[in-house]
Amino acid sequence: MSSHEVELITRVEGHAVYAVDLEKGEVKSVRFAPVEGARLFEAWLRQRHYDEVYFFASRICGFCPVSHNLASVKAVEAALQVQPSEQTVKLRKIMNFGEHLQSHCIHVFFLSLPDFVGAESAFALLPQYGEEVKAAVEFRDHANYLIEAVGGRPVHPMATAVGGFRRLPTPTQIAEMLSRARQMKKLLEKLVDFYSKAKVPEFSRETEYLGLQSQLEYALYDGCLASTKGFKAEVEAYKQHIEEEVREYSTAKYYTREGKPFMVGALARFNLNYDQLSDDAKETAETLGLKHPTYNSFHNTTAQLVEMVHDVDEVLKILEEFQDSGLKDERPPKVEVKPGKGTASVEAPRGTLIHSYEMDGNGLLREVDIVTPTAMSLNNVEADMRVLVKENLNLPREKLASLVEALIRAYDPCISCSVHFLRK
Amino acid sequence: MGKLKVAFFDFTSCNGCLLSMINHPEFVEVVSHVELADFRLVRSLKVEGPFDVSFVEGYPGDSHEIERLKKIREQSNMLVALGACACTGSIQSIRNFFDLEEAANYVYKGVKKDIAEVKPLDAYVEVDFYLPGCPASGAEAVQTLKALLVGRKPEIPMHAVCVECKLRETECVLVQGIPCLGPVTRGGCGAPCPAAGYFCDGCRGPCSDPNVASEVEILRKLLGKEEIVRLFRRYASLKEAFKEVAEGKVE
Repeated sequence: MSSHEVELITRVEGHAVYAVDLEKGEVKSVRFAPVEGARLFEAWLRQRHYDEVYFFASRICGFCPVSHNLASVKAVEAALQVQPSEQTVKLRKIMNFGEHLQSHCIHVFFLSLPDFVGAESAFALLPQYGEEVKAAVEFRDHANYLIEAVGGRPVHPMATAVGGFRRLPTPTQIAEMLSRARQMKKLLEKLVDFYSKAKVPEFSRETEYLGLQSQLEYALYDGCLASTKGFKAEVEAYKQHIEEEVREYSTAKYYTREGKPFMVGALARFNLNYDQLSDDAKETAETLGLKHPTYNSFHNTTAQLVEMVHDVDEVLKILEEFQDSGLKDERPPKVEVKPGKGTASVEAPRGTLIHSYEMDGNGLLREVDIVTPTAMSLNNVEADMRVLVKENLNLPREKLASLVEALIRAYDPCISCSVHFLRK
Repeated sequence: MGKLKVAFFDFTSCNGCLLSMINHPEFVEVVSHVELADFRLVRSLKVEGPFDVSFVEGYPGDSHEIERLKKIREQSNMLVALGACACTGSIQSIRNFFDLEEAANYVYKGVKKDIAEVKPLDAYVEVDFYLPGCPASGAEAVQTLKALLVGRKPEIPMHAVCVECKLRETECVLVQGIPCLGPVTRGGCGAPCPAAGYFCDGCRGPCSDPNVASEVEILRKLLGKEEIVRLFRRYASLKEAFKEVAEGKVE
């Protein structure tokens, strides 16, 4: 195999290229570089009003609009010192779970699984696995309904507000969500069985796994920053711990912690917070042969499926409670506008997402910083690529290229999110 | 006659329009009746042009993408602009009101860049059909595919969003004193935003023959001048009907 560069990687959200440079049978350099046009969100969100930025924020990514919407509204709340009610937090968690469930479902079954069974796309799976693909489609529809019932629509929700919701789901919608969540639980049996046919490539490279952590639960909506190397910090202090780096060859921002690559996302959360997964999720991990901890990045996809089981269990808990007690008729609180700073984080499907704002006395943003999960994992993708290529140099060029692409895809990269990227 | 050869391309965007289309319950069925060509988002197989129809999501964000768009146009008998970025530049066009160099420096701290001004597809190539919205309506995209499959000219509404609030019996938010762009914005979306307790913020661009002066007069009772300008800058500041207000010409 000589040096290899591909145009655009398929079956990932957004545009990215990768390159492997070989010299005399040695890996000289590897690159993974998103080339989506720079959108400069951070620049133009300045001078916009706090009550609209969280709707713009969701437009950063059509695959994880809820995560951006929630991280953004939480950052605004932190700046304005607004405390959302317990009910609001639970409703937001349903949206967040809904997004993880639809995003994971699409990634696991439509984008990644074709790699593990040797198909070019989910369409190619239809003749042999029609029933299973149908189950995945059905599951995705239910997950989208969870977002729609609470947030107003699945892509770019608009019912969220500072401190609450503009409109609450009706009792009929609560009942419908509960019924669908129960169907999802059933569908998961079929889907786990389907996934067990996948041949996940062998690979191992230990790294630092980073994510949110909470004493209360498997952290997705809230928590502090933590890692498998014992690192712990408040989200507000992220800049002191996560270094931003610009590289000549890609003009992209890459992140390190203490000078080293780290990984965020489902596998990172699995490795970091395994104990807090639901019993059924742990059992699914065992069924799928996913051991804790796992250093095979390809298993990010498997960890997503394990999380799907956990997420449905958690959604069921919240919805059963709502079904019993009903929703209180809460309206968003009146907000007192004042200058301030706010930083907040949620776990997006692909990993930790941070929004940080500074606001003036008119409620307009003055400073904006957004750190996306795909950007945080980039360095680790490259470090993995280097090892993977080195270990598989004997493979024919085409096979090695497919393997590298499958690795990148397993990370579930979300290029639109990575607002920092620029073409050379 | 062979199958209709359809390709789906994505440029700089959030991919939310293609996702909304894929999310539509009839999409997989409808697409099984076409010869599916390029669809980078979901498949690895590449099929060479020419194409009968190309759906294009996003806007060209740099010089490479502008060239790519022109090539796609050459290869496509019909080109459909999918979603607000492709139709009007969408929220990205807010950036046009910033000094591009300052904006780029704010994010990239002086690193060299190739960034195009935000313009919709028809600033570069001819567009045959527009599917507006942020995100685009999956139902309209599927309906367009169906029309093309049976050889009918696709059609979507040009009336204002207000019509659809009336149809679904959503209490008028303007009447409640909440600013809304519904009276001047193109419907077809089913008016989900006012129904969700929000208001229409104009993601589908202007409707046919919008009375912008009268809209501004109503908004003026509810909002300050700067707020009105910000509202008109959201999605379609490049459209003739919204341009003046977006550029700050409000009394």
